[in-house]
Amino acid sequence: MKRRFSLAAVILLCIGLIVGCSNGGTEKGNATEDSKDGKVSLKMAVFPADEEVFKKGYENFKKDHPDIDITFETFPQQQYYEKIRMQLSGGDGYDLFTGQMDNMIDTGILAPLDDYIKDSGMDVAGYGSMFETYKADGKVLSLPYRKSNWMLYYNKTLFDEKGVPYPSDDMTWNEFRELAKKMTSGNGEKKVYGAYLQQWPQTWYMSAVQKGASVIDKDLSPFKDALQLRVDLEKDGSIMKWSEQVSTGAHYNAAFQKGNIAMNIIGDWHVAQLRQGEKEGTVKFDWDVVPIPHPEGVTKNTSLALPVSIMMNKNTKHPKEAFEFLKYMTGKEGAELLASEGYLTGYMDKDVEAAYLGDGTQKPKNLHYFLETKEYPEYPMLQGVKNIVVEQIFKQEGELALIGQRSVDDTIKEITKRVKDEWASKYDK
Amino acid sequence: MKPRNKVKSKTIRRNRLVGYTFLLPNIIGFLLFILIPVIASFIMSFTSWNGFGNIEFIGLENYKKLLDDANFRISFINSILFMLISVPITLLISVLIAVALNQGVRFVKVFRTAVFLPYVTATIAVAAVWQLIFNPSLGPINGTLMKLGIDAPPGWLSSPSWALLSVSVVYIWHSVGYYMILFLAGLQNIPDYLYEAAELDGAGKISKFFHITLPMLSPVLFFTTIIGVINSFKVFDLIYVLTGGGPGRSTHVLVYDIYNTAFKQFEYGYASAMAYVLFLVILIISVIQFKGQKKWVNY
Repeated sequence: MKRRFSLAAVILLCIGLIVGCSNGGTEKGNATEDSKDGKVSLKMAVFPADEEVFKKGYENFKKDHPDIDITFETFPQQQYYEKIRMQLSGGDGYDLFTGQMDNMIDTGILAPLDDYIKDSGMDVAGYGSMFETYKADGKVLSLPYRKSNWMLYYNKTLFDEKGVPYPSDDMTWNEFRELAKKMTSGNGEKKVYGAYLQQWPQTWYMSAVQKGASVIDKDLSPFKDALQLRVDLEKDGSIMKWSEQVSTGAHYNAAFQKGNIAMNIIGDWHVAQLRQGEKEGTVKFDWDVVPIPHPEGVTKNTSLALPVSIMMNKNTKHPKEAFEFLKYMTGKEGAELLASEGYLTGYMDKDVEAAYLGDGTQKPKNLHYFLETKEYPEYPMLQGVKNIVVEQIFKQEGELALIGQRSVDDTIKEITKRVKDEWASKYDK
Repeated sequence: MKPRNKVKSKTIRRNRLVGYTFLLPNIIGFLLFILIPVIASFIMSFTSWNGFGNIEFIGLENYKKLLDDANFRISFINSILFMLISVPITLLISVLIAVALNQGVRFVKVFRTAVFLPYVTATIAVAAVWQLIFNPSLGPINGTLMKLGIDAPPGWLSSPSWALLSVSVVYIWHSVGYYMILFLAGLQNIPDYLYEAAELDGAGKISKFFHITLPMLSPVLFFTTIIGVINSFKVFDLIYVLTGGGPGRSTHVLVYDIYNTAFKQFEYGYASAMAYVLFLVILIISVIQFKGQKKWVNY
């Protein structure tokens, strides 16, 4: 690990030196060579979880575009951005890549797509308000292919066993807490948890965002109730202890599939994971979805979303071909494919909706809720927000409250201070 | 005389050329992978760069920024604490084990291997096992403590006040084997006649240890202290796997902070400045040690 890390650093520095010296000179988009028979080769980096579906999409795409060859590459999610950025900064990069735009926008290599969209006569109405919301400086730099909405998954079998009515689509967080308490029972091997919340800060701060607050607000007091709720859930014993989650490296997918968790709050991609589990025989219970609970006074079915999109390298040698595939995957056809796999897609119309809901033979039964969800962005798509505010400040400070080291009030105070010092002073100018 | 001299210098020159040719692969490797990057990152520490586009020279700005960077301050303190905990204990334990093994106990090879084994085991595997051992509710440590009647044993890795200590324990366990081997080699170099002479003069076991073993071992001790300090400052992998710098920032050490800055926030210039401060700190500590060695190291 140590050695690999220093090697990576060294390689990076060498690349830095070379790029630094040849600054402004001949920049090359990618190293993929075209074969002689007129075929165009493209290279694309995709999220590990999405690789399969992109390969499927490419199989379909190839039928109409036999001259475009695409190879896919992926990296573990945790190192995804550092790896693709390293490749891209070396010049030997990708024509296309997936990701959340805020992680890549500072590179300045995202190709503006406006002209291509205009030329291709693409219908952008399907992207809804997202098309405008995620423009940067008035330009479209990415198109979303899935939205990562939050949902509440529940284990129907457990609810049936206990004779407790299923979670409703209109439930406040306090009602959720009571329900979780009701569903919790047993000890040791027979322990049943009322709920599971992954050890991400989003799982506790979401109820504040549902009220319209944002993690970079100057006044973060709405986050107090949010954090308190998570502390209370742990106090009730209805969720796994934070310290235990962290020290066992607990994961929402394995935990929920085990069958001793009544409710799991996680993103829309979990549908595909559970279907996969059913296919492999690891999911032995009945399950369904409802919208996540909401704070008092907020309308039901209000959720958080975080679009995952495809971006194009502005140095690509084959922008036309690359855009063809980008358009295919983020547009109607790709959306139908992704939707049929259980993803909530960026592009929506009647046909995509039909593909998303399926013919009723596949679980979950109640996907229809998510076609009418009101969404707030999980965090503002600004540089540094995810890496500094969410993954450091909210995670580190929130953790201290969750393990009982510090009061909720003090924690939010400290978060407010750190957001100002470490993020706002740098990026919020 | 003259022609002979010429012939001789020709041979010498040829020999030298051969020698350099043999060294060449190594020197190229050193240049490419160490010297050039070291210089490049020094230059980079005066710039602001995210890996793309123009490199902007900002002079000493990065170093100034370090002065009031709370993350850096915390990781700095954690690194020093980690060093202060782990180095003395590691050295103490490894000296004791080495001396014990040097007594000619039975199954020396078995014990030696057993102590050395952790050092050659992959850190990830080591971390995974220790994570289980430290598990606050299911782990054997807390299981035992609870049986002994302690109601609320510490959370170890998941407690901000214990996490750094717990990581140190794993680090010590992991590296004792390496230092033990060094000490063992040093012990075997101590001639027997010193002990015999001391015995004739009526020295006991303890006074033999303090008056012969320790002074004769001092060069090794000096070397291991230097290496130990450097290694403890460089700790990264264990922390990355065991705690990820948490809980809160309680195990956020310098190299972890550098990693975060460079590969999560993509501030290469700033990260290079941090790396150079780390280098400076290690350098200063090493210089102090070298100055101090005259007082206690016997060659």
